[in-house]
Amino acid sequence: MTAISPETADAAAILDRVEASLKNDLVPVEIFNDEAVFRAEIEQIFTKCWVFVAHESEIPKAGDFVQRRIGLDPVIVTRDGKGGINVLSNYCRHRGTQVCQTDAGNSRFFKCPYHGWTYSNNGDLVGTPHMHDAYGERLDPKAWGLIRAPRVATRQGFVFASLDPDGPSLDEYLGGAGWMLDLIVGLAPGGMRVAGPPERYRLHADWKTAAENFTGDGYHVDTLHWSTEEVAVSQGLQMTCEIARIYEFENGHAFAGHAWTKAVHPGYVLWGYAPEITQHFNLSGLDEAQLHVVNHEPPTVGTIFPNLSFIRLNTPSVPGGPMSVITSFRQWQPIGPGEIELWNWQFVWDFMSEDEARDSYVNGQFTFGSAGIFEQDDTVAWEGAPRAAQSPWMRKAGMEFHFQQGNNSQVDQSHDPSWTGPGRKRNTGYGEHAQLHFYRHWLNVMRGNTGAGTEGAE
Amino acid sequence: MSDNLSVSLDGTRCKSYGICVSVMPDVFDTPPGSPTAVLLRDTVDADEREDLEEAARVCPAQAIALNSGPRP
Repeated sequence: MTAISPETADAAAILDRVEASLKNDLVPVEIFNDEAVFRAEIEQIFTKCWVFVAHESEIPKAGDFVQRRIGLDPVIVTRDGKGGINVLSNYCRHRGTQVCQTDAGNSRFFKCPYHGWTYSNNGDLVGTPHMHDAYGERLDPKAWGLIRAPRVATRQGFVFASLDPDGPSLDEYLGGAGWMLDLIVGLAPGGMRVAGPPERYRLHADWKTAAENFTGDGYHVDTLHWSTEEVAVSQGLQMTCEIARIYEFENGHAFAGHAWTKAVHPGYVLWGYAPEITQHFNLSGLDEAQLHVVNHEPPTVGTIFPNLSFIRLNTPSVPGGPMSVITSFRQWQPIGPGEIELWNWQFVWDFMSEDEARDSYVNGQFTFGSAGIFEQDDTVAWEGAPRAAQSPWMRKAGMEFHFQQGNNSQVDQSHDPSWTGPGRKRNTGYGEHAQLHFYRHWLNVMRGNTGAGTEGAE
Repeated sequence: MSDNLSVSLDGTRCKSYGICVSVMPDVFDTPPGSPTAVLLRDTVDADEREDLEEAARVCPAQAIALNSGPRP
């Protein structure tokens, strides 16, 4: 019988309340800053789901590595001499010291700074100082190698790892989100690459708040980001929800697109990319639904559960300036209850010249970087939830966040019956359905149910 | 003979990992009581170049160097 610690019991009681609240489209405040919930998230979510760790363009050559995280655990993502990708725990098998102390580099070995145990970049233990005197014989390289993520897989160059040896394959796990990822980054031969290392900044925010926002919270845009309209970076923000299209997929993934050809003009296909970009695109691999999506209702934001999100928008690089399309992938790294590090990668097309890539990078940072005019708005707003969650008053008052937007709205929020793609699609951004979809899946995973399925009965 | 290679082992760097011994047991040894590896010989034949380069490459302490040409 498994002992139930007070902390586990606390989390279980909170999950009971979440379940009851979600039936009424409400979310209890305490999940946004609670030690027991946070511990349970790390144990239930980040050790079981497929978690993004790197893009292959970050480690193109043999010996390349980056240091990353899966939940709270540091991992080294390496390209070994045979071209294989390894996701290795960054804890020495001897005393647990981090054997890799840098963010990125190229090395055949990782030598522990404590006693010098040395590992190959495929994880094998290759040497121990004073081998004969200390150990008498060579220690088994595999048995004493760095502990490996049990499963590693890629989609469109995105490297994911799962700490669960069982469960769905990456492609099964991604489901419709993989179909969406294909049409976002797979439009040109060679796809996309990172424009540089991720920018990282710490926020007093909960990872779920950020992930929820990127599932399709169009409702905040013409309030929180209104200053961008005032300085002529944005236009027509009041239409954000009206022209939004919500795509919900299995396993809590969700994207939100916008009907640009309807809102702007019929020729405004493919996110509004300029012809010098689209001339490189090859759409022949897309199915009929994907073709419709990329041309008319392409995804603007999205979240792959648990903590990888995406944004692509056409924006000027200076107020009133010429437009260009930026693509950022971002990861909400849990640090502790109510605290994250935001890791932000700008992505560029592989065919772009260095000058074009730099311009795209700068433009991306201008909007969605630590000092980006949109990002600054979001990161301040997100800091409220953890404060409320830690307030004894709010807990005593049983505060719940309101997700009932769709309940009495006259806007048609039903599933689009003509949709032939995966998952389901709604033709409005009103209703907070994508966010509820995210939290219902969160609850399922926290309950230990990681089976595939499109949960969230309406 | 210019075909021969000379090998040197930096005793101040060596931590006696013993990896070189597994690559070239007839060139390197980690004898009991010695704090560092030792050379059993300091020249190798040209056809052993690949193994010697491997031994130098995989040394975590970077203590092994190889030099072409005749020894001075």
